[in-house]
Amino acid sequence: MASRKEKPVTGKGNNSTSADDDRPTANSTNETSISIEETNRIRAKLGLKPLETGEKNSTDEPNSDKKDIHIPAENLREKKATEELRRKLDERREKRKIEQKLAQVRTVVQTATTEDDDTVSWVEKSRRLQKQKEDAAKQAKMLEEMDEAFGVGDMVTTELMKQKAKAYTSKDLRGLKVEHDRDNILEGKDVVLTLKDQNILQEEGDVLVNVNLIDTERYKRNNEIKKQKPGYQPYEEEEVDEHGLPKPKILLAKYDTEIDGEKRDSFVLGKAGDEEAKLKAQKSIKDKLQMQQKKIESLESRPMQIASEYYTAEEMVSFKKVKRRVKKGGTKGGRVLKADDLIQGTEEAVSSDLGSRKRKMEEEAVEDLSGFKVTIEESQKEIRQAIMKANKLKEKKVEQWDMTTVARSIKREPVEENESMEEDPMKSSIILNATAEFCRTLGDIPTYGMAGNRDEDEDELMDFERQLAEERRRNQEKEERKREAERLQERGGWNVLERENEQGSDDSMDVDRHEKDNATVILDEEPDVGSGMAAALKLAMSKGYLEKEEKKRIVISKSAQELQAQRYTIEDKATEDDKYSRRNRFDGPVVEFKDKEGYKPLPKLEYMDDNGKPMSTKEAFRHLSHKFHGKGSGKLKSEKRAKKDEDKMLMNRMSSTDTPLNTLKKLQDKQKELQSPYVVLSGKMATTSIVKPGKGKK
Amino acid sequence: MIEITCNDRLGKKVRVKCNPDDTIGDLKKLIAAQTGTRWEKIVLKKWYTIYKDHIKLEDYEIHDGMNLELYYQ
Repeated sequence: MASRKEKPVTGKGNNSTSADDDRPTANSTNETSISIEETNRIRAKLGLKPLETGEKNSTDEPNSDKKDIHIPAENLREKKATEELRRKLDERREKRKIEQKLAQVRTVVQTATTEDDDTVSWVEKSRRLQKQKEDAAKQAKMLEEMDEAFGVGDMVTTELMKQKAKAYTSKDLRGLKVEHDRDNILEGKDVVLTLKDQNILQEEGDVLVNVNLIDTERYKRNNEIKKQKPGYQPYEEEEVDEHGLPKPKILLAKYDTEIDGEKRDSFVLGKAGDEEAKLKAQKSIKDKLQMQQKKIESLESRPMQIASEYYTAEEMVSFKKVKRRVKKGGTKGGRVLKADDLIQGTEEAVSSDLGSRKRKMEEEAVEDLSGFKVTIEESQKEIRQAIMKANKLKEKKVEQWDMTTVARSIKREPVEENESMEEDPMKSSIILNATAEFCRTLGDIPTYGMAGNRDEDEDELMDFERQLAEERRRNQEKEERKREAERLQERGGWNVLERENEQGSDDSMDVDRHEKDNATVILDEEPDVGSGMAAALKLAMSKGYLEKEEKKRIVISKSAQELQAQRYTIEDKATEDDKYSRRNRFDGPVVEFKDKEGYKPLPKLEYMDDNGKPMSTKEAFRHLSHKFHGKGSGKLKSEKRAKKDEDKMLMNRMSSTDTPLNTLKKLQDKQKELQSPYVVLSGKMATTSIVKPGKGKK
Repeated sequence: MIEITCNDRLGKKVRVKCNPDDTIGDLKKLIAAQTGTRWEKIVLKKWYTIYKDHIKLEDYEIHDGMNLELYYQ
């Protein structure tokens, strides 16, 4: 934004005095606003029209109010109609004008009628017209002569001449730039060059171009773009110039046209142009000379060879063994004094070594000269080694490892511990040790040690454990039984009898037992099974083959006992009334039914029909089979049966004494009526006649 | 002449006087002159409606005393 004179005040509640109108005012609400004058100034700077003052506002407001009222949309039809009218009116106006004009023109007819229909008058008229023309021509000539007199005519002619004569020579063209490649314009050809379109304000000089050449260049450029290779080639090969020099690689070459603009070849006409051409020629010559000087070697010069699988003679030379100086002699010569030497004080070795050192030095000298005296040195080395071994053997004799020494070395430590233990035997100081804890728990396993292969383990046990046992045995002399009891508890119920069993065992067992007794309490030897059944059983039990069944006795407290039923047997449970018991009604105790003693059931089965009528055996079976199969007889059959049943029923209802129509009864009734023993059936005296009365009368 | 309040919620509150037939772009220029930013950086909004530069205030029905939200892009 353009620089402002006053900066707006944006302080917090920083109220500026209103004396200076131009300064922006800040309210307590932290707003900034500037006055109208300042605004107008800014607007003028921005190029906007100044603020409309309030007066206009007042007039605007009613308008704006009116604007708020809905303005109906333009009626396009009306608009078209009005336009049509307008057009028509214009047309009519034009017509009127033309007619007016024409009205003024006198037609031939009119002229003929108005004037005398004379050739004479017509001739006169034509002559008059010609005269007018001549007069006009004369006038013009007169004016020209006057111009010439004043010298104005010359100026006009010269100007005209100038405009025509715009011819130019090659001199004029000197220094003009032509924006084409020099090679494009061939010799001897006429090329029409025009000025290139340029911006008005461009300060560079004129540039000439040829339209056709521009087209060809554009075409070429488009082709290049179409062919365009990918801009980024990470593994591109080195491109070589026409002279064989490597082309310098430009970074991000694809953006050059965008950044620098299109590069166009150009040359300058005239003398300046010639110089340029000369420079170019010189450069090309220089390049060629450079090429000749440089020795160009292509990568293809060395022919490819098949690699041989075997080493060549010269390569074998590299494998020649180069004997290095043996450092052993050197170390021996100046060896570090070891403890062995001090003890021994064998001077022989030292002296011999010195001698060897001398020899060693000689050897070294020999070695330097040639490497073919390897064999001599080797033998000497062997001699040296032998001497060393002999010395060592001597040393060894002095220090020999005895069994006793071994035992002593081992035994030394625990003795100390034992002594410490003896100091306070009663005070059972608990020294917890992982192995000790583990070994202690071993006693809990009932089968541990019963298999009889635990004799060897005894030795592996900690000496500490052994000491503990020893200590116990010492105390045992005083309180043996107590200990036994404890031991029993520890072992978990092993009987004392086992001990007695063991007494009758083999010698080896005795020995082991002794040792064992001395050693620990936990491991007991396997009992002898040969004594009897009891022993075998005991062994089995102890091993865990048999389980001691201990019945769990549920101890009920006294109060609980009161709640329980006193006389309750399990049989009572069976008579409990629940849904399961009711199902098996006849499962209960079966007793003779004594109420109906002389009862002999009649095996007479009476089956009833659906209607309640008794069925015969055959019918009953039919009924049963229908029910069984789930389907009855068909329609016809059932109807037949129904009819039969009905007939049967009617038959039953029929009177046996009378006819179906009850003729006899009627006769008797009639007789009673007439009080006569006879009835006249037909004739004059017949009271009843079959013939209908109606018929007769008609 | 109408007066419009422009508030960016970071403490800048500006009251600008302008004509109703001014465009939003002109309004932005006036705001820029007062606040010291660049007018191209200003975005005037009302909730999610972004006011476009080439439309007049009266076409947007922005009347006197209206509040616009001032954002920056």
